[in-house]
Amino acid sequence: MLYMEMCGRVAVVAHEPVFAIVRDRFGFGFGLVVLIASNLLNLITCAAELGGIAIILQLLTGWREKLLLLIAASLLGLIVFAFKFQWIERTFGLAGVAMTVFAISAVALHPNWHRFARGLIPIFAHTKQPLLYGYYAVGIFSALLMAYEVHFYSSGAIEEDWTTPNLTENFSVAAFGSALGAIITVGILMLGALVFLPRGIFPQTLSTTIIAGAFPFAKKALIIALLGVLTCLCGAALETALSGAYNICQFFNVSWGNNLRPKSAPVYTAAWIAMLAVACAIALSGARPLTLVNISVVFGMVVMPFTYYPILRVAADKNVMGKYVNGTVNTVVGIIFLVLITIAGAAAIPLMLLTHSGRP
Amino acid sequence: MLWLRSVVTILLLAVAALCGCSRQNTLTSDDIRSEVLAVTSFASQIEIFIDFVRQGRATKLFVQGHTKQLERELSRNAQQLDDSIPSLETQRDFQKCKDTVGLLRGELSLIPQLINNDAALQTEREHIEKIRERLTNERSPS
Repeated sequence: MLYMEMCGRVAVVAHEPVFAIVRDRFGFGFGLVVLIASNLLNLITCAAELGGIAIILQLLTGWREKLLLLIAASLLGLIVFAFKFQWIERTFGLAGVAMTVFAISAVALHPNWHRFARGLIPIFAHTKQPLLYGYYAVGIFSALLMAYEVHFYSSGAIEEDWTTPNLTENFSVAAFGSALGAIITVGILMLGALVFLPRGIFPQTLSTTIIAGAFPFAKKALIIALLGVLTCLCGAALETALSGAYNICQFFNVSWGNNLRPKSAPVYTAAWIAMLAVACAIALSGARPLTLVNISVVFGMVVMPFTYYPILRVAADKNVMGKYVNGTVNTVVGIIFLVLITIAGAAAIPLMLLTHSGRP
Repeated sequence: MLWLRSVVTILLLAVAALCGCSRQNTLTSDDIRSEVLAVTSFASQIEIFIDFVRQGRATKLFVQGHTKQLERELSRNAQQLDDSIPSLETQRDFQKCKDTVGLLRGELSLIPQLINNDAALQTEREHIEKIRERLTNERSPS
């Protein structure tokens, strides 16, 4: 929420998208490293999301998964071509609200709220496998903060021509969006504790997780959960593909924007098409979506500090931001989070190796 | 060229991490413990799935699709076991895991045909439960 608001504010006030800031603050060489790493992660994440879309469509239609994968990637491409940025963002954003069925299911299962509140405090002493605990803590932390969301959001603020009067909207969108996402995430975690943990289940398939979302309800909830996950995955696949294109164009300072005609932004158009096509090829190769998610979440944590740090620096720079500069509280909380992100980023790969990617 | 060195370092770290994920080695008792947990988890997933179907909460297409998803994961697990070599002390548990995965695959394939047959689903669930309990109860003490 904090960083999303910050990068939205920087985009509005300084008209600087994230990867222009990364290039200016880190220099071309290291900035390019961050760009390559970020876009590789976007690619892997997009492939995982396309794979997930094909799985959900198969659960809804019974058609062959690889055929559905091709159809889904083509349809997403057509959507980007046919619709303006605002329509894409709002349609998928609103449809994703169906995901709240997971939080509602968690509440309907009557959790012990006292134990739930205690569970919010991390207690390493109670776990038999602290490394595994650490791995999943880093994973959840990273999944909540996926860097591409910040890149996309910052670019979106520029796409929608936000100006300083829109800063209140920026704060509301960042706060409401992040809070809703966090509530759904907590709901899914609660479902894990209520449905899977007592039965010794480590869900190995996306469809098992869907069952938890519809667990206390009838068939309609299952359909809502499937549609909610589908729209979320479609929105996320578009975000990662477009983020890849935004990052490249912003870094090399070439024209970009979904509201421009393809001829006016050829690099941007080619980049998002390439992102979707390569991600589709990765998914078609038979790579397991959950393995791809694992890689994206762990390596995402490693790359994250390198995009969050420059945002914090610019947002706290009075020369750039003028009267819209960070307040002390923003900067202090931002630094605390950056330290946490850096610690988690440094621990991510060793934890992945030591726990064999979270094997129980 | 500091940035070039950084790229190489990141790539090496990524390769090292991915090699660590897919390395084929002799299964230690710790690996077998994880394997038993994974197979038990599969059995429990099938049990919860059967409950879900019996309560009329799943669509026919979902039942078929979810069965395919679980079957794919089970066969991936079976392949991993086939590619592994058990150490001397883990041989018995290793074989038990392989047998259980085979049994679960067989039982799982029956579920889509039993959607409207509650009694048969109930029997199927009891089978799975017994298979799961046998695996956990008969495990060698480690």
